[in-house]
Amino acid sequence: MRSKLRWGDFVIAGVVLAIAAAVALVLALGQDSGQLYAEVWQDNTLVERVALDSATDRTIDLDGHNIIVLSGKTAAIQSADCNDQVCVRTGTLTRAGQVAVCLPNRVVLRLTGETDGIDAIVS
Amino acid sequence: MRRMIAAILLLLCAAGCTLRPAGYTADFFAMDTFMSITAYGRDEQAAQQTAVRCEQRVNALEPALSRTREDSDIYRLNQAAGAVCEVSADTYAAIEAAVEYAALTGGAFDPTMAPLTDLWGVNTDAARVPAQTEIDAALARVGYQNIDLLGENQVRLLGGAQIDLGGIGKGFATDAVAKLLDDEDSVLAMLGGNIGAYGQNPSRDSGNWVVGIADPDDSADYIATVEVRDRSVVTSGDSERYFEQDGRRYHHIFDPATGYPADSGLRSVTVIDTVSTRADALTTALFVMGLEQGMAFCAAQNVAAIFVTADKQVYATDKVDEVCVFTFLGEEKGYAYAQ
Repeated sequence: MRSKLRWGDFVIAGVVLAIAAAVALVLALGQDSGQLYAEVWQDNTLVERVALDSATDRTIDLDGHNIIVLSGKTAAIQSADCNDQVCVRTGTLTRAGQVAVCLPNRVVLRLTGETDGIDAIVS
Repeated sequence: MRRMIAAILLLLCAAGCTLRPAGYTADFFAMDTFMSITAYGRDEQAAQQTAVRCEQRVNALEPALSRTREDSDIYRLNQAAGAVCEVSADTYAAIEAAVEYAALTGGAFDPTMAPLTDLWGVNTDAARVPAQTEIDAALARVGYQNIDLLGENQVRLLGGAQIDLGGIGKGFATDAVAKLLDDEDSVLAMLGGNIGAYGQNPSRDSGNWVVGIADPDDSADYIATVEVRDRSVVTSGDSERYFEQDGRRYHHIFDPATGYPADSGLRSVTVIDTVSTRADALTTALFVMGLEQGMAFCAAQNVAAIFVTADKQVYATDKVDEVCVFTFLGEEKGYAYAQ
């Protein structure tokens, strides 16, 4: 049995590819490709989620316990009123997946978005 | 009609190519640290079930491993003044593992360092350099040989010994998570300084997980990566937990031989192993041993380890290339890979 392709077949194939491309685009946009966000969590509650860009310049004061500075596409816990200072020593976060944690105050600063090549950092 | 069916199938295939398995992350505080477990599944509900199951297992281990909670086995054992105590199967298994690794490392890792760590109080209000007489008194109570494992979950502590499983607790929890999983599961568990990377990573074509080894001078950044699957990656270092007195830095990894923070010329040690508990104990032991003795130990025991020295040299043992893809990236930050 042999059959030839008709012009209608090309129309269907074109429509299928167009819809697939649209679906892929919607999914890709849904994954926040390229956009970096700073998330501030306190006691397992999301306090702030800020989209970072080159113009970002913001300070978040968690009742004086932790001061968080968002500057351009970076974020850091600038100060903490606890003894261990581990979160301050963690330094400046610049990539998705990086986390700074203040255990005594149960504060987590995390960058999210598309990762740039690693899944986790071990320190 | 056949063309329509073929078109629909083609559409589903094309769209399916762009779909990734759903991920769910459970963030929580346990064992005095921040933990984050990400699971992937066919949909978000399946991923969430896996992540929550792992979180519940870790939380259930806390009373088995903590020494500060008054309802814990270790607290009871430390208060028993040498009497025989029956502990849970988890606690017994963890103590047994700790003693095994203490013996393996000749005591460079020792789970009875509690009197010494309490004395120094690193990361507490009471952090200070103790007097030598105080250090000597604390050291007299240190020695894993004083842990008497009697079988059938019975333990007693001799010579005033006090157990602290902080050196392996997160590794033990990571292994407990790994045991919950089957071949279909994909999980990245970050339990404090312990990473467990299990199953296929759906975000990468290779299916592997890429873990950055932190820069000791800037722990948010990394100076090398290891690409692993079904393995744990653990780092011990001096960069985050320390205090300063009279211009000198005192970190939290103590040498059981001196009672002082280990002064071995290392900034961090990373171990890659299928058993996270072993990796946890070995990072501490290797940090105490220093580069030369540590490299010799790794060669003899077939350990995959990465050493970062105070003079910014990075060393990897021969075993590293067998168990992962290691990539050195620290050149711009002033590090050198000593091959």
